Amino acid sequence: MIAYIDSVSVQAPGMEGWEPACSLLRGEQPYEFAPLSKYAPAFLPANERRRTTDTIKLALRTAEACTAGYADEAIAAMLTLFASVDGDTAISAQMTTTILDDEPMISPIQFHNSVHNAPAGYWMIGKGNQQAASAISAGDFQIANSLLEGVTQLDDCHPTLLLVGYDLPIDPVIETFQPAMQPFAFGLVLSLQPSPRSLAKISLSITQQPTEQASHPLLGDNRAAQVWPLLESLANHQNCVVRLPLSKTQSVQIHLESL
Amino acid sequence: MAHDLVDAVVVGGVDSLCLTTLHGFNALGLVSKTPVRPLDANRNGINIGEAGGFMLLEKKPQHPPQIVLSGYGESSDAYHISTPHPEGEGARQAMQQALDRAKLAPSQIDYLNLHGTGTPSNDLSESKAVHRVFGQNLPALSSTKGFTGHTLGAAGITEAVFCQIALQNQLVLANLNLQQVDIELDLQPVTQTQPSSVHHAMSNSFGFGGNNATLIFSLAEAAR
Repeated sequence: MIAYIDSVSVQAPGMEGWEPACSLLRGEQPYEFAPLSKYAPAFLPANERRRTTDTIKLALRTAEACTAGYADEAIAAMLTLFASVDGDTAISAQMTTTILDDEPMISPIQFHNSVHNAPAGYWMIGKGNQQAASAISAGDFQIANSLLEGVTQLDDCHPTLLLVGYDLPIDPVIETFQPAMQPFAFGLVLSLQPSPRSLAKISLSITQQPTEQASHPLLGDNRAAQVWPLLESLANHQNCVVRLPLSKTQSVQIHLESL
Repeated sequence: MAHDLVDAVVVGGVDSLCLTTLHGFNALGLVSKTPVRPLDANRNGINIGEAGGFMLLEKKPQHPPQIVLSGYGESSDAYHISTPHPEGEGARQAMQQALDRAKLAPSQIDYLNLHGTGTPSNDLSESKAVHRVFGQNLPALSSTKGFTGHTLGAAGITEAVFCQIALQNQLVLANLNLQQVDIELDLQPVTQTQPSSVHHAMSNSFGFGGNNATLIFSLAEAAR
């Protein structure tokens, strides 16, 4: 399976945007923590914008950065895939706390924001995009499954797809044992055909071998960071072969060819 | 399967009752105090149901299959997180895509299993989409949520299995609890489960976030 990476974005503390991330990915600058700037999804109507949470905003700012170079019609024609292992754990924490009350009153806005595809829903509303939108979670096998899902969705009728991978630290109410992780999100526009936009060609194949994954030195156990070696290759304009775990017994091998 | 990565896929969904879901739907004012009455003039919300279901999809089954998944369609409303598009635009697109993929005309659908949650807005929006896709020639149709309630994450597979049952047993399923059809919907739901010739059955499932999906199942000999 072959696809082309036409656009890339990164949003994380100390890596706000692709250019700042590149200097880190190329080893030109040491990592320096800086909180993400305040962000509001200006492309949403005011009533929808007010309802967005930190998790939704991280996904949306990444999607927005990744599609900044595209015309509105092109964005509205893209398939969309939002990938997050844990979703909005701040909302889950608030809702699970609320139901302990004698007369639980869950906020209706919180409730509709609690679905895993809430960021996708806001994105499609804000961009007037009526194509299919998917929202997936694949735990330890997150990025191999996200890339495989994204690439297999492409066809002649739907030749471009926006993939956004994002995860934030888990709310302590949800996980007493909280894996150490930093917020991190990336976006990729994948395309079936090469174009002047194409930054790299990726070829995916499945191998019947497991792959061990180590914690990321900066981002900890944030599974979205499994994409890191691909970003390093893109930043350095280098080819690479990366193997990511697809399941306990299988892997996806990605051959990235810089264009 | 289309990419030859796998020979077979297990698909399905499971949802058990969860207090956050119950109180959440209650906060949205969408839970009925009575058994759910999809398409009824007095419908006033959903019942939450529990279910689990799975299907095995095979590309080249060893034995000739009786039923095939002949079409699917997916769309986004791009309208509101928890309220359906008032004209059912996303639902229309999902149904039309499924028909196009199955290479079927609307008139070839023999049974339509509606999303039919029993909320005033869903059933109205879906009825508009159905009229836009099928015109004057509506198939036999019903919502089976009167039997099951809205099983949420399992609703898609549950109703896919109902379509399988309709095709295997050559019957159409009742729209349970219907007393008086809402005239605004302009639909004539199946009132009793009854024998009927079914070659192609369509199932609609819609969700929060504005996601819409339509499946078409067909008797193997009728599929193109």
